[in-house]
Amino acid sequence: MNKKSYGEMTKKELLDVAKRHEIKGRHKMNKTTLIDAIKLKGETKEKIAKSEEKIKRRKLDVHYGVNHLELLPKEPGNVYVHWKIVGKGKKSDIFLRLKNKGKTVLEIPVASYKGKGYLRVEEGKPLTASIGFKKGKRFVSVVSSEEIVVPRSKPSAKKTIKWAYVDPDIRRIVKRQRKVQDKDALEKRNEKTEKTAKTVKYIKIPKER
Amino acid sequence: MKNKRGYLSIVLHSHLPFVKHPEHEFFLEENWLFEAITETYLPLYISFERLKREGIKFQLTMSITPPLISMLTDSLLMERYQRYLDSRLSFLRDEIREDKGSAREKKTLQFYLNRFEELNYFFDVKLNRDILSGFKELQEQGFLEIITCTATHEILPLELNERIREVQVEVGIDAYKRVFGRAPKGIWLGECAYTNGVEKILASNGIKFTFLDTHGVLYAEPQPLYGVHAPIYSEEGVAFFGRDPEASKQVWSAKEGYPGDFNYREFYRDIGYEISAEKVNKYLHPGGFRFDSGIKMHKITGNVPLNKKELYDREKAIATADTHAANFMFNVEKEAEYLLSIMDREPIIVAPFDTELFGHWWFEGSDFIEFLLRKIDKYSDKIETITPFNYLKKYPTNQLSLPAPSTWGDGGYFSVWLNEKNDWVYSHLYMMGKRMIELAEKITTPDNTIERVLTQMGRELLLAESSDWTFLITTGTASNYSIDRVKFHINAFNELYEEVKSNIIDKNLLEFLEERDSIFPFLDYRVFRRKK
Repeated sequence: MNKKSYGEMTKKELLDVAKRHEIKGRHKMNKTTLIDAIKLKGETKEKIAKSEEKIKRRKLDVHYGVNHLELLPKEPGNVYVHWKIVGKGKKSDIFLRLKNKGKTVLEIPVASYKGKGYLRVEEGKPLTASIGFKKGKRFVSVVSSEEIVVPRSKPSAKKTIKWAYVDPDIRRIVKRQRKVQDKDALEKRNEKTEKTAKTVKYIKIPKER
Repeated sequence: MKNKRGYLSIVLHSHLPFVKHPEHEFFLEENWLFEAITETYLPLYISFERLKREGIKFQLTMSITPPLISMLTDSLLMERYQRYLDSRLSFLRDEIREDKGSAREKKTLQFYLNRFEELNYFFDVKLNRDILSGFKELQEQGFLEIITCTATHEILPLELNERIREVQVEVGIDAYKRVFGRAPKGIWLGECAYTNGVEKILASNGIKFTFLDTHGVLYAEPQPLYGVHAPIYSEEGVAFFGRDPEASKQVWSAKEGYPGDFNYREFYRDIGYEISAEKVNKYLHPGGFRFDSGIKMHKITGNVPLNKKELYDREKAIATADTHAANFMFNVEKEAEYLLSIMDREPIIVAPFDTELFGHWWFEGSDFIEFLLRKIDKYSDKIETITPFNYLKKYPTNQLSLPAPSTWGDGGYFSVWLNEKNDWVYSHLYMMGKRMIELAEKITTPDNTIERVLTQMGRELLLAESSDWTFLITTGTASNYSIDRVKFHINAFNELYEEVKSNIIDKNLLEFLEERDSIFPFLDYRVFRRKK
């Protein structure tokens, strides 16, 4: 098909093009305004396509320019760790260290400037990670993570009861004493609740077929 | 009420990810919103209005998330929703005019036509395309307590930048205030995801209560004596309410729950896959794509293949929902009765659900809610519905205990949003958060264009943080779309970051992003600065 320029087209042909471009109010336009509207729409579409392309074409693997290490809680006793560093030192000297309140709980050689993995750890404890170079007994940290809390899978062993009165309107906390009716029955009930909670299977709501 | 035994607190969590594609005339994923409006939000609103007119007293909590607020107040999306409604209406009118099919099919088509006409009346005429105004009015009249949510439903325990956690809460509150005209009393944490430290952010932002899954409260330290049947307070005085598994299992449970009843409407068999290609073109999609139309003519029937499903009988389905509501009420009464015998106060039974379960997934679910609220008010002398805030007013003294890290997702912790399939997202989120904070603190007097770029970076960051993408990557539904979306926001953010650094701004790109990723029109990049 030979391509006609817009100027050569009849009004009916132009209206068809305008329809394809979803130009609103096209029936009220004369030939010149129709051509302008079509051209403008075409240019806008081109600009949008270019912008979209620019973002989609980018490489995801950005180098953020700094050393970083992420430690994240996954589930009781299981954490995720990911790191990327640049450092002067031998690859084989790179170690990952996990600490609980300043005390080292795990130290493993990772021998890589970047990596990720899932680790078994003790549940219910705060944890930080660092990546560094280890020579002999000396560990020089390159980067440390934020502190996280590893989730726990059972009720707390602490049973002390403290009550507080909070004014719902102004939030003022006053610690209070109070009497409870049936402590044993309540504890039993809580055990039952825990079991029920674990048997419930959730419906996954499908968002599409 | 002489025999009162306790309180039922129904919490409906309404959320959809922000999906808007002005660059395409039709975009399939925008239908998530349109389906939810058609099957859930409007039907629930209509039910609440009906109860109100009848003089029924009820109290219900609803969280409406900031992305949903942004979409329901977006004029392009609401225009497109009107188009969605119009196309269904003309389809139904034409089908009925054709006068084909059995008497039962005709009856069902007529039911749909009446229903869509009612929806259209409420949407276009009564609410003037502003759905939230209807819910706002119900809140002002004391029927609903609407709460907010973290800005983009992020899993806060997987956010490593403390400032970004705070921003998620602050922007969530801001988005709420602009629509509902007052500060929210409560918040829904995206996926009920909690870890130690979050309570401090909530307290400093004036939040009085939130919800956790059962074990988030049950595993709190020290052990809460009342379990999930009374709230606990953090040291700062934020109240945490735990999900009662007993009350919600019949609604949630896929196997033994109500939604699986054979009389209810079948979700997967939709007329959109059965009508002629010509009709698909005319009513559903000009490109001829087949997808759910929302008009479904069959019932669950039993454990049979889709082509063996029997025709839907609306009256029977409604009668079933009525029976289920009665059964639910009876069970809650029994439970409350027992709990009261071992507690020194009336227990609260908290039943949180995804709002979209009622109507979208379980078609008769919104009717179930209406039946339940009516029955409790009219016939129960044992239970009343209550909002958490009103329960706190009645019982302001509660046990001090620090909640346990948890979510209400599969497995109860974070593995849905953090696993081999989606863990690559998190280092980007961490570093992008750092970049955002860095620029927000460093650039104090930007010119107009740079300010727009910085604000758009904030939007791209918040959108990348949505828990929906990692969730959908794990479940495998819409996983390609989700991967594309999260990559898009990461790339857009980093592209803009480099532009700011080099001071070369692509204005076309900026305009494109502002129009497409237009969540939080009010956003100011300065919100990302750390507090001194």
